[in-house]
Amino acid sequence: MSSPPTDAALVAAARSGSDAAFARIVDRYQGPIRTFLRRLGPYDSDADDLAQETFLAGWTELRGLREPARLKSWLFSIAWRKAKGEARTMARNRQRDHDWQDMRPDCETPQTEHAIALHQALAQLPPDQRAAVSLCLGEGWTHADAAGVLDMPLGTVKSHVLRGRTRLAELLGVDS
Amino acid sequence: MSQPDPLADFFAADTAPAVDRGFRMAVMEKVAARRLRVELVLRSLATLLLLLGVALVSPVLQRFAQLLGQDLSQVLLVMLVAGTVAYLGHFWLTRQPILRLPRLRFF
Repeated sequence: MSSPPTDAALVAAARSGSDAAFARIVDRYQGPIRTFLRRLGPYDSDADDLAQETFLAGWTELRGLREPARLKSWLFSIAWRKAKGEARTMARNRQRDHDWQDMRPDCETPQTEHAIALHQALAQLPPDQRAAVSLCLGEGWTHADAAGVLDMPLGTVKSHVLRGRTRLAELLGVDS
Repeated sequence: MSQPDPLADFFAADTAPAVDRGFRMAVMEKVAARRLRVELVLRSLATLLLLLGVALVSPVLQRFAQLLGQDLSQVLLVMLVAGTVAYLGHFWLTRQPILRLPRLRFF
């Protein structure tokens, strides 16, 4: 059985115009990117819109990717930039659409109690801390990799993760 | 043995679906729309440049046609009509356009 293509191979194929290769990139990373963005904001639908914009920006800027093997980190850094940049816009849109949203049945993904509790607890953390915690505790990234993606000093990321973990444990009622 | 992380259960419960075909289709639709927009802009620019070029050389072409005279112009007209008929006939038989615009790939 043939092994799945590497990120570098998919990037090379997508750069030469293969939509199938880019679709495989989307399939490979949509789960982690959407999860990361959903943990940063209150609404899954906004996060999914942002995830789509992330992949679209990825497609547009694919030729600028210097290290194709680091595709995952690169996509996450685009997602983080977009999340920071569009946080204000989304808040404005949400305010505008608030009444309409209230009239609709809840169409967000059904969530378990644990997921709801985690969302509520994460919402108590500052955005930078939430992002560092999501990457390091949620996705299992190393502090160094997370620092690269979030464009923060290593010490800052370590501190965010430590404080975030303590605060989350406190809010969720588990041992730190 | 290391203790399991008590927060791990919470994070494990809060993950987006690994592969969502609807999401992939939405992304690929946006990609196709952006590619179309870019290609339209590029083709419009190319057409504009072509028209500009024709406008610039048209005085020379007109002078050239006058020099060729009436007889040769009629021959050129017959050739043009024959070529058009041949092209349309081929298209009618094969449903394949002979002339195909090259795909512009900038991304």
